This record gives sequence, structure tokens and C-alpha cells, in this order.
Amino acid sequence: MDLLNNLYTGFSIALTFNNIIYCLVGVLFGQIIGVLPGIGAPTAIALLLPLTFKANPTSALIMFAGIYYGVAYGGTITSVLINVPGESSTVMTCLDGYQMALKGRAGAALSVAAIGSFVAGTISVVILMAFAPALAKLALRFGPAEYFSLTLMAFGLLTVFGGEQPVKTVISTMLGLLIATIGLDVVSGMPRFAFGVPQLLGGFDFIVIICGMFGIAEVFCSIEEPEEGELLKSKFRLRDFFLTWQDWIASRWAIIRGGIIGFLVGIIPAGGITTASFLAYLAEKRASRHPERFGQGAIEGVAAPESANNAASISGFAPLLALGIPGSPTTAVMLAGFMMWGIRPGPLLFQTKPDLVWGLISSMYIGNFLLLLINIFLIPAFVALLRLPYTIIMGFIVIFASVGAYSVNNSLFDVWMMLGFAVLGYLMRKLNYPIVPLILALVLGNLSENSLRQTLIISGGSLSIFFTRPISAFFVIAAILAYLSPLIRWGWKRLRRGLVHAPSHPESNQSP
Amino acid sequence: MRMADLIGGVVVLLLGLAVVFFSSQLPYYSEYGPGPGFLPLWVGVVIVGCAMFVLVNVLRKHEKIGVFFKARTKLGLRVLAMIFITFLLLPLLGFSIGLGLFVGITMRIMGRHHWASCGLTSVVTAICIHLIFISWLTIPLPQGLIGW
Amino acid sequence: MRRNGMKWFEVGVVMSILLFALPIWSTAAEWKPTKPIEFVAPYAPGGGSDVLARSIASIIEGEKLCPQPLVVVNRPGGSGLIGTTSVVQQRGNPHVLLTFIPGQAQAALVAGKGAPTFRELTLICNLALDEQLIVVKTDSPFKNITDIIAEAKRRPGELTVGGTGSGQDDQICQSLFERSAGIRLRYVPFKSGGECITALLGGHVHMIWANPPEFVPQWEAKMVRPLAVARTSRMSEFPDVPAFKELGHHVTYFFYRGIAAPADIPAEAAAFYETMFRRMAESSSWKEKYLKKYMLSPGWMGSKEFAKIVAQNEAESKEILKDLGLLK
Repeated sequence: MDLLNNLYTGFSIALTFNNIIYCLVGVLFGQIIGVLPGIGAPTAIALLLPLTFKANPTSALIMFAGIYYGVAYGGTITSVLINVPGESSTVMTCLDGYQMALKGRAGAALSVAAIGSFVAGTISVVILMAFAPALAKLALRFGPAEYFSLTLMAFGLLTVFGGEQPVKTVISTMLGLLIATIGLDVVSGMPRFAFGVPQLLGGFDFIVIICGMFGIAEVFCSIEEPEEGELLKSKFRLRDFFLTWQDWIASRWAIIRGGIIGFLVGIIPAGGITTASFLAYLAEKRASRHPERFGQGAIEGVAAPESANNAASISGFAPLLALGIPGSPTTAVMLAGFMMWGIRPGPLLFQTKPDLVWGLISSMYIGNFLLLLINIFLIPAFVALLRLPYTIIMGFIVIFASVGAYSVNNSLFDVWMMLGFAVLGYLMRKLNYPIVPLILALVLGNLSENSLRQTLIISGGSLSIFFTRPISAFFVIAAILAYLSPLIRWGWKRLRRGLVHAPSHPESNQSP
Repeated sequence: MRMADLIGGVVVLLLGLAVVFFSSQLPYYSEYGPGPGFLPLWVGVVIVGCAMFVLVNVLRKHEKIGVFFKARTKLGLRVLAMIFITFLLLPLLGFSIGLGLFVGITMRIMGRHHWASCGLTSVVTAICIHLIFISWLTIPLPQGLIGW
Repeated sequence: MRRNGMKWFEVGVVMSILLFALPIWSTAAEWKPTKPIEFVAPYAPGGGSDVLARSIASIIEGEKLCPQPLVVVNRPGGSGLIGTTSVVQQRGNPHVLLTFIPGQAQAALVAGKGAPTFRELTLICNLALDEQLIVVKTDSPFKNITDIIAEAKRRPGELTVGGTGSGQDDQICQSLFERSAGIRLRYVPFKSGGECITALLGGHVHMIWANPPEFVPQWEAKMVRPLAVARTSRMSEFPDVPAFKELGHHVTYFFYRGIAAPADIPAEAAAFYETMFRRMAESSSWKEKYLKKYMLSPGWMGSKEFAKIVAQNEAESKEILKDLGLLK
């Protein structure tokens, strides 16, 4: 009954005209910011902070939260339409979303992303409401040891990208790890591969790399393969905006699975939205009966990461509200936002400011609903942009990528680096080196390396810590299975073929 | 394509060797666990190993697989050159004007649109960039000599 | 002829007066910023330096202390070195300011070649002092510093201490503590204060070094408690928490939060900023909206005094970093 009571309080606050307007402004702003790479939610919230000093804290926080989860909706649009991820959390959407767009199904990709985000988001808010404090406690069980085992498992999932040349997948992963090591090392404080160039001390920002490797590199590829540009325009019918029955069937479990993975990864403080969408995509590909369809425009490949990133952005509120720990750069800004009003989110917040907490959580239902409406209505408009001549679209891509790269650190150096990564990405594509493993290694590289070293400092150099802690042990076992899975699969196929065919066609056993 | 794969392999090999060299200068082990040089060193070693594998593979196979230079590769390179020149000019022209010009010029060269429409697109793009990024979102984009 | 001569004479007089007067005017006239000032916070939004920069910008605007607005720009990365570099490179530009904390000087020491040091900046003033405290979980067996020392003597090098970064404030404080008490602890570096408190709450480390805003919410909920503060006297916010000095340990740390500008800016500009910040630091909204809210101690220092403190802190850090093997 407590929950219902809280829900009532929450909605009575969130549904006031004023707060609905703040929520709407927040999600709209988030949606726009999400479209622009480089300008993420942290910058957006920091920009708007001073404007909200006249509002009351609840309204302002409702708006910030709106920006926060609105961003993930917005990032999808550029990912699908021009293969430039607007946010790091929508990188995985590029893989199948852009392929769908090439096949004339941009509308369906955007629809499934919006619906998936809405469903996963709404379910996440329900769980957040019911279990926030308990979830936060669960999050605390994640220490460096668990982080390392988690990343170990994620790298294991990369085997799904085996492809024709597994060696090239390995090289690509290693390149990603290498790029991640550039800059000051957190654990030792020493610079690595900076060669005395001060700008390299901070390493490369993720956005700079994906703007180059996805956005600009895509321009070169499209020019080389003129059919791609033509494809974008040729098939363009209204009914393609809607999901077919087949799409629903294909994506319903992807949405649920993506939502669950996203939610779980989101509550882990260092997990983050990007990691959530990566894991959801990889897991979906692993679970699929037709993994070969991924990367060719599989709708599940859009549904899973999109549901995951929205679920993660909402579950990230659990540790923030219940413990006062910021799990991501954005929640760190939310924390700063709270403090500007003299509110310290933390274990006591639920008791001292119940109307703020419940008003904020309730507003997330409204925000998600508003976003669904906005997106469904705007999809035809966005898709219509693809009708522009490719030379103009190309101009858009260059503008977005260069402004995005610039605004990460406000420096031209990053714009040049972005161009460098574009050339690298283009060459890798031409020589059949897969790019996704590089990106994943980039996202997880630092977390993996730092947490391994932190764990070993804590354990005094003993590796047994990874097996004595239950969560960590679970991930380690899953990781080992993932690494061995190509072997297991191969063995299972042989075995089954042997069992089925052996009695009737003994000769088939002789074929290798 | 075979040649390109070969060159690619050699570049990766050299990169790997460089990584091994530079990371061997960082502390390999610290008091309790791997030091800052641990991961890069092994990454370098794996890269070297994989690169050799790629090279051997290419040298062993003799069939032709795909082509590296396609009919329109030149066009792609031309766009790269144009982006390069635009970025060089950004500090002088500023982002709004520089990128606005880029859009117009690529439209003219790549798409062979009419001069007038190219010019108009240029102007509109420049104004949009200025209004959205500089005025509204207050991103401190370089504004060039003209200061706009 | 005579008339003409007079005219030339007059012109000459006026000209010479002008010529002599000009330099006097330009020195006498107060320098004022003529365009918006870029205020670089070399850390991510939400961090201590970002909060400082944004609070300053809004207070200066509210108190009308500057004819031009201060525009906060975040240039995070590389332990503050990226943002610091960008300011150092704008030598002579009086329309750029930078927040400056010990971490930037320490990171530059460790990074070595190419890293920007405070010698390439004009130090304007110090505004506040942040505090470093040792914090444990409420259910920790350590009730006070003496407990920790006793346990550390029994199990040398086994107690784990979380802190932010490597070779920076937290680790330096810990080294000071180890030296003074003659013990050895095990330092676990984390990326941010948020990760530190999370590791403490999860029981992954025994204790952490933290600034007040990083642990106060959890302290209010009685999940963690501070054991000692690295300064000579107690903090008014934590009257029950002893200072290391009282316990007989020389662990005092000047965590300054100051302002710097590029090198070679006109002396008048530096003077203008120093006056502007002094007026701000004296205002009541500074005390209410910044110091009290984020639990910092007032610590106004003019440019000369601040430069001395920065140099002193750097020398001290250098010695400790050498000891830790981070510097040659």
C-alpha cells in the first residue's frame, strides 16, 4: 500500500501543469541534444543549470531527468539515418539501424527503437519504484573484482564477431585496447603513448573516435559504392514506417531481454549506458537462431540495444537516489544539480524529501510517454530528410561529426584526430577488419584494465579473489564458456550430426 | 587487394613492434599486480603475432579476392582532400562559414547542382550552424577572422 | 606668418601634452575585460572544479562584479592537464581564466615532458581550501586513528585505502600519514570520488580519503563516519572529528582551490581579476552559496601568497612522489 500511496503523491506532483511543461522541455531538449554527437547530457544539464534557479527543485530535476533519458531517444535518429551515433550509447544501433535504412526501412527502425525504449523504460520505472533501495544495495556488491569479470565476459561475447577471419577480429580488439591505453594511466598516474604531446595526455574521447570511424568513414564508403546512396532513396513508402507483424514477433523478446540487461547493467555504478547497449546487442546476437542476420539490418539488433540504453538510463537513478552515488558522468551532473539547491541525494532523501523523489520518478512515466509520442509523430519527418541529395546528407554528416568532435573538449585537435580515425576506419573496412570489436575494446578497455589492477592491489596480488566472490565467479564461468563456445558449438554439431546420420548414412561420418 | 592486404599486414606488424618497444619502457609490474606497461606490452605481442599470421595467410593464398581500388575510389579521396582543406581553413574562416562553404562546394563538385542552389545552401547552412551551435547551445566554436 | 607660427606652437604643445599624458592615462585607467571571459574548468561537469567555476560565474554575475560574463568551459581529461594546457597555450590573452588545484601541479610533475606547469601561468588568487578526511564505514572496527595505526602495525601493508587518482592529493595525504605514524597501508587508486565512496560502502576497501561533499550524504544517513581531518584544527561542520595535529601526527594538507590566467597578461588585468575575486570572496553570497553549501574553508590569498603556497605544495609533493617511485 505504501507503494500506491507513494505513486499517488508522485503523480499528484508530476501531473501539475507546470511540471508537465518542465518535463516536456526536458525531453525535447534531450532529444535535440541527443541528435548532436559530442554534446551529451552532462553538457546539456550543465548549460541549463543556471536557467532553472528560479524554478523549484522538483521541477528542475524533472527537467534534467527528461534531458537525461531523452538523449538516448535522440541519439538513435542520427545512428539510423546517417550512421553517426548522436550519443555513445547509440553506437550499437548504427550496426543494424543504418542497414535497415539502406533497405528503405529507416521508419521501422526508428519506430522499434522508440517503442522498445518506451516499453523498457516504463517497466524500468516500475521496478525502480518498487525496489530502488534494494537495487542500490545490490549495486554495492560490485567491486573491482566484479567489474573485471564482467568485462572478461563481455570480451568473450565478442567471439560472435568471429566472421571469416578471426585473426582480424583479434587485431581489431587489440587496436581498441591500445587506443584505450593512450593518455594518463589512472592506476599509476603515468602517461602512456603520449610522446610529450599534452593533448594526448587525456587520451581519445569515445565520441571523437566513433564520429570518425562511423560517420566520416561511412561517407567515403558510400561514395565508393554509389548503390548505397541510391538505396536510401529508392524505396520510400509510407507503410514502411510501421512495423509489420513479423517485426513485432522478431523484436518482442529482444525488447524484453535488452530491457533486463540494460536495467541490470545500469544499476552498477561504473556500468553505464553504453556498456548496457553493447552487452544487450552481443547477447541478442548470441541468443539469436540467425546470428548471421545481425549487421545486415536485423530488427532485433535495433530493438535490443535501444531498449537497453533506456532501461539503463533509468535504473542509473537507483544508486543516485538511494545512496547518493553518481554512477555515470550524467548522474554526477544531476548530483551537482541537486546540490546547487542544497539537496543532497542520499539514503535519507526518500524520508526527508518524499515528494521530490516520487515526483521525479513519476515524471519518468510521463516523460517516456511524451517521448514516444514525439518520436512516432516525427519519424516521417526525419525519414523524409533522407530524400535530400546524398551530397547534402554528406555535408550534414561532416558538420555533425566535426562539431561533435570539437565540442568534446572544445579543441580543434580532436577534429583532426577524428579525421585520422575516419581514414583508419575506412581502411579497416576495405581490408575486412571488423570495427565493432575495436569500439567495444575501447569502451571496456580502461574499466577492464583498471579494475584488474585495483583488484590485485586489494587482494595483495592473489587471483583467487575472482573465484571466491560469487558474482565474480559467475561472470568468470560465463566468460570461459563464451571463449570456448565456438569449440562447444562445433563439437555439438559434430556430435548431433553423428547421432542423426550415423545409423542411416555411415559414410557421412567420413567427411571432415 | 592481395597487395593491399599485404601492406595492411606489414603496417600492423610495424605498429605492433613499435608498441612492444614503447611499452617495454614502462614499468611492467608494480608492487601487487600488473603495472602500466603490462597490458600494452601484451597487446603489442598479440598484434605482432596476428599480423604475422595475416601475412603468412596472404602469401600462401594466390587467388584474387576483390579489388582495393574501385572505380569511384578517386572520388572518395577527393572528398577526403576537401575535408582536409576545410579543416585547415577552419581557424581562419570559423566553423559556420567554413562548413557552410564545404557543403556548397561539395554539392557543386560532387552533385553538379546549380550554382545558385549551392550558394543558397551554403548560406543557409552557415546561418543554421551559427544559430544552433554558437548562439543557442553556446559551444565556443572558433569564429575565425571575421568573428562570426 | 606670426599667426601661423602661433598655431603650430599650439598644436605642438597639445601634441606633446598628449604624448606625455598617454602612457599615464593607460596606466592610470583601470583595465577592464572587453569581451566575455572564457573560464576553463579542466575537469568534467559535476566535479569540484566545475562546481567552483559555475558558482563563481553565477555569483559574479549576481553581484555585478564584472562588466563581462564569465563563460564556463569544461575541458576534462588527463587529470586536468588538457584544460590547463589549453590555457597555457593562450599566453598573453587576458580573457581566459582557469581553476587551479594541487592535482594539476602534481599531474604535471608525474607526466613530465610536455606537461603544463604552474610556472607557465599567472596565478591570480586562492579562494578556498578543501578538506581531506579519512572516512570508514559505520560498522568498521576502526573507531579512531589509533585503531588504524595499531592494526596497520600488526598487518603492515594490508589495510586498503581508496583514493582518487595516483600521485595526487589523496595518495600524498596517505604518504604523509604513513610517514608520521610509521606504518604502511595499501593505496587503491580510483577514477573519481564517486567510485571511492562506492567501493567503501560496498566493503571493497577499509577506508578512503574524501572531501566533505563526497561523503556527507552517506554520513548523514549514518553509513560512514570520518575519523580525522588533515589539518591543524577541527572543522566546524564536524566538531567531533579530531584533526591529525591534535593526535600528534603531522598530516596537514593545503588543498587550495584557486584561479590562474595565462602567462604574460598585462599586470593591470591581473590586478583587475585579483580585486574582482577579492570582492567576491568577501560577499555574503559566496559564503552562503559556495563555502557553506560545499563545506569548504575560506582561504583567501592574493597572488603573491598563492604563488608561494603553490610552489611550496609542489615541492612537498615532488619529494613524496619521488619517495613513491612515481618520479625519478
